[in-house]
Amino acid sequence: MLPNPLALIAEITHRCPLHCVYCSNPLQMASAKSEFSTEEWIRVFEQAAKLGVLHLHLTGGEPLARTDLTELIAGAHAAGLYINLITSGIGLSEARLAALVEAGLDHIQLSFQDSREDAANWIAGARAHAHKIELARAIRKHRVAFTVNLVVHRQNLDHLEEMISFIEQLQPDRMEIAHAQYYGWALKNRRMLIPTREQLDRAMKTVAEAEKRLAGKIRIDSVVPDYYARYPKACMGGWGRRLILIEPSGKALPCHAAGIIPGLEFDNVRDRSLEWIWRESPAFRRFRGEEWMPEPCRSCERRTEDFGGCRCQAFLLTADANATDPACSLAPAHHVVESVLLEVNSGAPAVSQPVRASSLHDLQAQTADVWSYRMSPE
Amino acid sequence: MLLFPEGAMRVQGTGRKILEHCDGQRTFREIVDELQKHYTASDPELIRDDVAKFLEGLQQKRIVDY
Repeated sequence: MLPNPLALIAEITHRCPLHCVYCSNPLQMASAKSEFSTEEWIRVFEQAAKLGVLHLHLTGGEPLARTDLTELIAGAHAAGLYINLITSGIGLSEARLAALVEAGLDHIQLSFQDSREDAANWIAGARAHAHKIELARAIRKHRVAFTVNLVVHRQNLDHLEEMISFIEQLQPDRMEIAHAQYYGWALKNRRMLIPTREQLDRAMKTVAEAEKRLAGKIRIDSVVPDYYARYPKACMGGWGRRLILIEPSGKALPCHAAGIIPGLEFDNVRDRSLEWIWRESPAFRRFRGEEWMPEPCRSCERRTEDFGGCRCQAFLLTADANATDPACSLAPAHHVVESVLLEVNSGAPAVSQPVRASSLHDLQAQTADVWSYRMSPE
Repeated sequence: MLLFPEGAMRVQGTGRKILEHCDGQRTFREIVDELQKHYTASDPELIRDDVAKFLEGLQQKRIVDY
């Protein structure tokens, strides 16, 4: 029997004041004009709650770019959802924060790019770091669960210990140390982001020590980079098994990156009920279950654990969405990942010095041969 | 159903009873006292230890604060 979805990821806008080089948003983003209205979103939240969804993750882009965020939260709260706001904090004043909590916000996940201000602003392509620190202090004054999220990669991993101490001082309930995942802008910038094996080994030790030291104080969740794993990640808990993602304009997808897979048509919640999309839509059924699986997945005993890995990564790295995720050591195309790792682990992979600039334009000009900053849609 | 960041837990029976008494006001001793009144057939010491173990487990996961 088909289970109910447990979580709805609502990308309520693709607009963002930050330009993080590791952003996993698609390169092609939805324009502000095409975004769903307040009423349309609230209708979706109500449908989701009826379908059995428990968690709502409000994300983007930067969800605070929506001026109706308080109303959206109030609507989702009335529908009975547990609401998580995934944010950079830019656009959040103390007064607005109080209003969001009052409206029913349960959890804030605030991102940091680094512990060092110049490095953080260089990665984000925006002067955001100082505001985030102020905001973290304000968040602790409210009754709302608080997670600090830190994305790690080759450019910041060498001072992971310092970053963990920095986060500790912000006193979150939880910290997420997530290695960049290579989709969207992060894939474009992979050459500069992928860690060396030595960095990764050290980082895993550092995280394990921090977990021990902070037990009972701050819970640490870490996401390892799947390029270095033996088996692929159970992407989204399996295609169409637990999660629904809705893009700013109402298109429903089984995951963030699914839009890149050719031949899949994604239904819009404007035209179809969420229940129909979940149960019947061809896109959600496409890689559900085991029918689609090639060997070695089809006869692999891990197929019920990792579901063959990530369909989008399979497409991005092999041009075939049906292939075993190349991150898997058993995949016929694993050599694609191995050659990326070979390149980064031979010689001296580049670690750059943070660049200071007076504007994003200036920053782009100075880093043109290093990476591309994520752009905001019109 | 107990909801927390990135997770959910179905809580039934005694666990549910314990959590229903956690209102941010009652002390640990008060919670134990009330449960002891409810479960008169059980050893009071055992109840105390079980409640402590249950809440500590949730505290480690940062689901319960005290």
